[in-house]
Order: sequence, then C-alpha cells, then structure tokens
Amino acid sequence: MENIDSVTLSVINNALINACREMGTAMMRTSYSPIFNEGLDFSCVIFNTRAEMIGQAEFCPTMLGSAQYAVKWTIEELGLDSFEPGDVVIHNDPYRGQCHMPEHMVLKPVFHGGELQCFVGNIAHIGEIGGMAPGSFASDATEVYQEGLRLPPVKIMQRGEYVKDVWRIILTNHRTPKTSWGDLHAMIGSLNIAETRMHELLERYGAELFAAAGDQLLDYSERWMRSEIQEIPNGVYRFQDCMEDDGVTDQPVWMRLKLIVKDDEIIADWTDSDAQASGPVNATFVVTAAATYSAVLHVTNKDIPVNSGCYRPIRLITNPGTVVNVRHPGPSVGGNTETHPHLQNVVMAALSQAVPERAAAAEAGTACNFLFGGAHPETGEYYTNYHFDGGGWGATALHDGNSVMCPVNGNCRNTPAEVLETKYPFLTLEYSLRTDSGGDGKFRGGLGSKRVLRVVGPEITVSALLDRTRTYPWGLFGAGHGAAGGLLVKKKGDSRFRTFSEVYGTVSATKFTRIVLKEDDEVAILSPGGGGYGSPSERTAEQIEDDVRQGLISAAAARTSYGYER
Amino acid sequence: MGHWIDKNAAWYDQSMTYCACCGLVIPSGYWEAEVRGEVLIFCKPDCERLYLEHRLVEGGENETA
Repeated sequence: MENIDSVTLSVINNALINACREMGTAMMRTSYSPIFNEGLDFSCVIFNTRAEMIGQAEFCPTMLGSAQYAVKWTIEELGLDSFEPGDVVIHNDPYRGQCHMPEHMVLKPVFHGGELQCFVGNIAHIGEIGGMAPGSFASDATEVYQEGLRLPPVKIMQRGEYVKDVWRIILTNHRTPKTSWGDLHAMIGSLNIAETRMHELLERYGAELFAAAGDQLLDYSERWMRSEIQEIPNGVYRFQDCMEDDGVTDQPVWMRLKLIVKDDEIIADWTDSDAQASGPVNATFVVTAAATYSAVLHVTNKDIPVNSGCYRPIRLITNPGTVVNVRHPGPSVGGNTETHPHLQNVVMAALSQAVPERAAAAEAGTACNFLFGGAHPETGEYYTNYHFDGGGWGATALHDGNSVMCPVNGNCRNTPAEVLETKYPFLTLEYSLRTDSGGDGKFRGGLGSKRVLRVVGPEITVSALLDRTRTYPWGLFGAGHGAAGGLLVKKKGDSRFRTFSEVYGTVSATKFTRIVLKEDDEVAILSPGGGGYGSPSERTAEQIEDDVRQGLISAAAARTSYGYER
Repeated sequence: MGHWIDKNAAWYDQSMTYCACCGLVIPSGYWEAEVRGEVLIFCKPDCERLYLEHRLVEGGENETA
C-alpha cells in the first residue's frame, strides 16, 4: 500500500494509544490488589502479527521495552496458527522473554473478517505467585525455581472458555488465589476492551490499511529515532555501577557499559559486566534491553511514537551468564526492580558525556521492595502485599529532581497510607520527606522519603529487596550525590532502630526473606535521594532560601553545601 | 553467508540456545553462519553483522566510531 496520509496515520496512532490508556483505566478500576489499582504496576500494549509493538501508552518502561520479546516468544512457541478467537495466553517465564517471574503477560489475538489482525496485551506484576517468600520476592533465592510458579506461554482461555486445568494450577500455587483470580480477570477484561476498539478501527479503515498503518508507524518511528541519534556526537562512552550486594553474598556486582554512538545507531556493549550473581539481582536480557531503550528515549524527542520501530537503531551486546543477561537457572526477581534502574542510570550517565544538556543525574535506583504477608488478624484469611516506595530522581540541566518518585523503570505510584492501613495490619507512624537527602547542585536532586510502620497484629512475615543503601545516586558536573537509603527495625522495647543484619543476622541488611515481626515492632523504610546537577555555587540564593523555608534542606546544609548564610 | 535454521525442538524440550552476539535466548528459528571457521548461532542476520563489525574487533574496541 502507498504511503498513508499523515492525518490518517496520526488518527490511527492516537487510537492505538487511547485503546491502551482505556485498558489501563479498566485495570485500575477493576483489579483487586493495591499494586494494580494504586501502584499501577502494569502496561497495556498492541502488537502486529510479527510481534512488533505498534501501540502503547504511558506505563512501565521495563515492561514496554521487553514486551516485544515476550510476544515474539509466545508467537514462535505456540505458532500463529494456534490462535483462535477468544483465546488468551498467559506467560511469565524470564527465560522466554519476560522481565522477571511476577510480571505476567496476557495476550489475546484479534480477528476480523476471519483473519488474525493483531494482538492486544497486558503485562502486570501479580503480587503473589508462590515460591519461597510471601509476596514472591525471594531476595535470597539462588535459582528461578524458588521464585514462584513459572509459566511458559499457555492458554488460560480458549475460544472464550476457561482452560480450567491451567487456572487450577495457577490458583493452587499462589498464596492468595482470590486476589490472583480478581487481578487476572481485570487483565483479561482490559484485553476485551482493547479487542472491541481494534474491531472498531478495523471496521472503519479495513484490514489492509490498518496493517499498513502499523508498518508505516514503525518505519516513521525508526526514521525519527535515527535522526535523533545522528544529533548525538559519535564516540565511545563508558560508565559503570554496581549492585551493592546480591542478598546471598556480601559482594558488589558490577555492570559495565561501553556505549558506542555511530552515525544513526547506538550499540550498548555490556560484555565487561560481572558474572551473574548468586542472588536474584540478575537482569534478564530483556530487562537490560528495556533499560537501554528507556535511557535513550529520555534523551531523545518525547514525541517519537514509542513502538518497536524506535528500538531498531539501538542494538545490544551481552554475554549470557552475566549480571546483565542471567543464564538459566539463575534467579532474577530483583533484576527487574533494582538492577534495571541502575542499568538505565548507567546508560544515562554514559550519554551525559555526549549530550549533557539532555541527561539527568542518578535517581534513587531502588523500588524499596518491602513484602509482607500472613493471616489477617481480623479475617483469618491469608494476605500478602508487594509494597514499594519512591525515592528522589536526579536533577537535570533545567530542573531539580522530583521527590519520592518510583524508579524510572516502573513509572508507578506510591500506595497511600490510608489504603495500606485499611487492608493490612500495619500502622503508619510517619511518612515524610527526608530533609537534605537530595544531592546539592545548581539543580538539586529530588528527596527520598521516610516511612515508619508499626505492626498492629500478632505477627507479620516480611521480606525486602533494596539497593543503594551503601552506595549513592551520583550527581553530574560538580553536583553532590543523593543520600543513601536504608531499612531498619526496632523491636518492641528496643530504644533505637537497628539494621536487620544486627537484629536477625541476615547476610544483607536490605535483601532478605521471611523475617517474622511481632506486634508493636516497627520498620523504617528510607528511600535514597537523587543526585544533583551542576555546581552548587550556581544555585541562586532565592532557590536556597525557598528550600530551607520548605524544609527540603536544613539551614546547616545551606551553609555547608551552598555556603549560604542568611 | 548464513542461513535460517528451524530449531525443530520437541514440545517438551527445555534446552536453551543463546545468540552469539547479543546473548538473547532464541525462541525457535535462528540464523546460522560460519565465522572464521566456526559455526555460530545468531538470533537474526543483523546480529551476525554486529558480531563481525564489533565483537570480532580486538577486545570489542571500535574507537574509530
């Protein structure tokens, strides 16, 4: 088909985006768990039949970057001919193109005129999928089999009917099957909405034009991305960062990047990275790919339609068996939440050498994963929750960093204290900004938060997976780093907070599983601040005064970091 | 010049094949090519090109970029 006019192409592109947004709204309104309806830890996508993403919206970058691999695997493993109207496939296998075990993709084929036209999909973090730790974040796992129920692409709906055997396997292996039932139906419901929207589009434009529009949008995005990359100076840019420990050993694990910008392409060579860790901080290949894509998208034009086309000029080189490409059966649950933002920050730092005016300093780089579960004291029913907290984002050449934002890989929201207290036996004693946690600079890093929770039931079993508690989110171009985070516990009767290693003897102070807290014990979650940008000496007196007035920095820090005296 | 190969794996086969260049686990079909006398498996022809242009350069260095 000849070139479609730009107006029609824009209308179809926006229709695809809107369909994804509508899916997201349905998910938010109908799901059971706070991780969906408050945290928005999901992504909605539309694919063509060649496993190329043609539509998405403002969801989780890690899922959006990796979805094309999960869909490709699904189509190749099952075969295009195996799909029928009304089918829904589920898939969470990190060794088949998924990010990590909790991320479940449901995928539905869309037929029109008797022919398969496209797929609509939803990837979401199911909060409990079994395994060795309630909440399925096994911070001391040493293999994928400890991380929960692993599902290759299998149908859970066939021609609109439940595939009951598969549902029984899933619900039997999850600790909170009622929640999984509700959340999976929210996901499937969102697919049905998108299917309706695709039928409307196909009815209006016809299958041939619909398919051609998808192809032309992909090519358009690729051309635009190539032209954006051409504006980045050619060169080889290096950076490295580490996970401070892996939950099993107390050793750092380094990821090292050589980023090559050559004309209209970027090559991200990660081959100098450390061997894969014993614990679950390993990234799957698709996580590393998604982190790389995300960083490049941050420094290029935000109006590029984000689809598989804009990823084409970005190529990766990794070695299987390293922290950036875990080899089976290594664990990887933390690779998606913790290692991903580190990887994204590393790419961003490398790019800051080429396009300093577009880059950001390092952000908190941790989701502050705090998992808990047990028998609810009021109902007796088993509950679990995957709680995450935001931290400070890095400052840029134009702005201070945002405070208490979920890391760049998630684009999620914090769960309100009221929701947490209503559903679970925790009382929120404090939820505040951490004064002085943002890195000083011409533009200041965003602030981290402090959240103090008290157990108000007989006991709660908790697990955690946090990083950047001994390392710091770096600043750029003379700015200071953000404050490190932390996770502390105060047992009933104790006079002060201590680390979990001090109290329970865990190898890692912030990566552990299955610690039983008792009534009136308290936990403090400290999220890191973001790095600053530019010399603190260039920050204006007015900005410093405003920071002090708002309590974002202390008067003492105004003096020591900025040399400011009222 | 390489060619496409179908893994033709049995449905119960859980073995994994990795691309020699990018490191991706390959779902089904792969691109097989002989490079300096060694048969290598790639996920797509573009990865063979990247392998030749980048990974074969000593130490992966390509400072001429």
